[in-house]
Amino acid sequence: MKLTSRTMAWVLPVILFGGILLSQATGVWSSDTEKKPNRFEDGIFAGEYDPADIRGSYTLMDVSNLFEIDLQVLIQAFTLKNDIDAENFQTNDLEKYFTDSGYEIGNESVQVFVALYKGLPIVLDDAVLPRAAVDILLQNQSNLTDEQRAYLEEYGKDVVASENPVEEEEEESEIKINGTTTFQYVIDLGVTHEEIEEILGMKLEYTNQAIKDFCLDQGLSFSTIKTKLTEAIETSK
Amino acid sequence: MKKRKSKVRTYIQILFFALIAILAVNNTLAESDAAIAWIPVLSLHAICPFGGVVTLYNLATVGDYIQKIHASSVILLAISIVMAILFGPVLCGWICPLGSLQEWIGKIGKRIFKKKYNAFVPKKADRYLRYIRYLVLIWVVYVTAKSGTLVFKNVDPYNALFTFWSEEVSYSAVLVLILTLVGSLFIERPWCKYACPYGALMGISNKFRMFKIRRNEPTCIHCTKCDRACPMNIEVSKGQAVKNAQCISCYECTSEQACPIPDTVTLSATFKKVVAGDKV
Repeated sequence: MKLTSRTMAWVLPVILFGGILLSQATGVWSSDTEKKPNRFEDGIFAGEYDPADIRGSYTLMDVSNLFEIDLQVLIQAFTLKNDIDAENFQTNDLEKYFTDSGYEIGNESVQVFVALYKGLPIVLDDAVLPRAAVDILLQNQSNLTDEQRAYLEEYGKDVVASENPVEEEEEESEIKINGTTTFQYVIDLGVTHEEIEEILGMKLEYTNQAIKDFCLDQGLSFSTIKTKLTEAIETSK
Repeated sequence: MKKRKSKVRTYIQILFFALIAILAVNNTLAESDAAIAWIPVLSLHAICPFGGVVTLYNLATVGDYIQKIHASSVILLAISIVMAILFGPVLCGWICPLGSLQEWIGKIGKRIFKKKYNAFVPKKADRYLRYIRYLVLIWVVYVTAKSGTLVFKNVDPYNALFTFWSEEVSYSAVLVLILTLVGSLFIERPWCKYACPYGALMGISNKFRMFKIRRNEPTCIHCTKCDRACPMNIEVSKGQAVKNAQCISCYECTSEQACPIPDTVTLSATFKKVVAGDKV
């Protein structure tokens, strides 16, 4: 059986595009990172999205849609202007608006707010919230535990978003661990495998894994681990 | 009368080059919310089957794709493997835009250097240099598996070709692209021959593909036009079926193109047992 180039000219596109269409029809095809946090796998919250997996790249609109929180609530909680472009405003962008306050208010603050607003579990660490967010939580969530109330008292600060965001000046030497940073990156910067395991308090099998994903899987606070790893990198220099 | 050569592969190459270029431009436009609505927004990584290769270890060990790689890359890898099992590395010879561009630049080289074109590298050195792409493949898979990041994009000329206008591109990748394109003036498809890790992987299919380039010995006049036409410098006239890992199924050696005798060099499947020693 012979195949001419004319035959090949239609056979190849048919196989290629046919394969793509088939994978789309069966729901396997995905060409983008889906903005969907992990879900709780067990317990009474099984199936619910995990607020700890809200990424800094999620927009306010994403958070509003995913967790079914009125957009206005998010805007008021973080003292933003009503006309903010919620479809493009990423939770990480909050940092620019609170730089002048002296507190780090960003994605982790959103994670905590969303978790407490929806009554979902979250590891409370040191994420700061604006007082407006605390007031909304206290008014709307009667089920807050004493520990959560104490946390809000301590980490709720009288700050408002600045009118003019401060653009971060990137320093070349700045170490930044974000949601996609892998353990190997930290190792490459001089921290040993053993030191990482000590920080994690458990065995680390694969260094090619994103730190954030590992923390979520193991129920560790990404924020805490991130801070400790950053310190370890600084020490190893 | 001079035989009219088929241009059908060139049309397919132009089609895919244009398609990838349009998708790449639209992806850039999307970053400033100016994407053309009826064109899908797809990153270059999402439509690169080699991304599927380098993410396999991550998928097997931690159950996730590496950064920037999605299911689409693995699906495209699977499709290209199916095509390779059937027809060999047709993706390289018909679809890959970087391969096409090297080929088109090579046409200028052919005009300049005539018969010397594609014969600058001494045969002995060329034989060893062709193993480099396997080393590149092993290196890329290893460093990606270890780091969980897309290390290869920093030297990938394919990525540079379609992102050189954006901030995403790295200078080292642009340098490799420039070297590849300049090299194409002297050597046909230099990146494919000596450095392409995906070509190295796909080339293995030449050993067992169903449809092979076959030469019909009884009608062959041994003019060696097929040898001279092969962009990958394979000596097609030395055997009955091409099993060389460098074959890209481009049809240049066939009776549709270089071979002057009809039905003598063809892409065909046969169920006859090929006698040992017949491969090229």
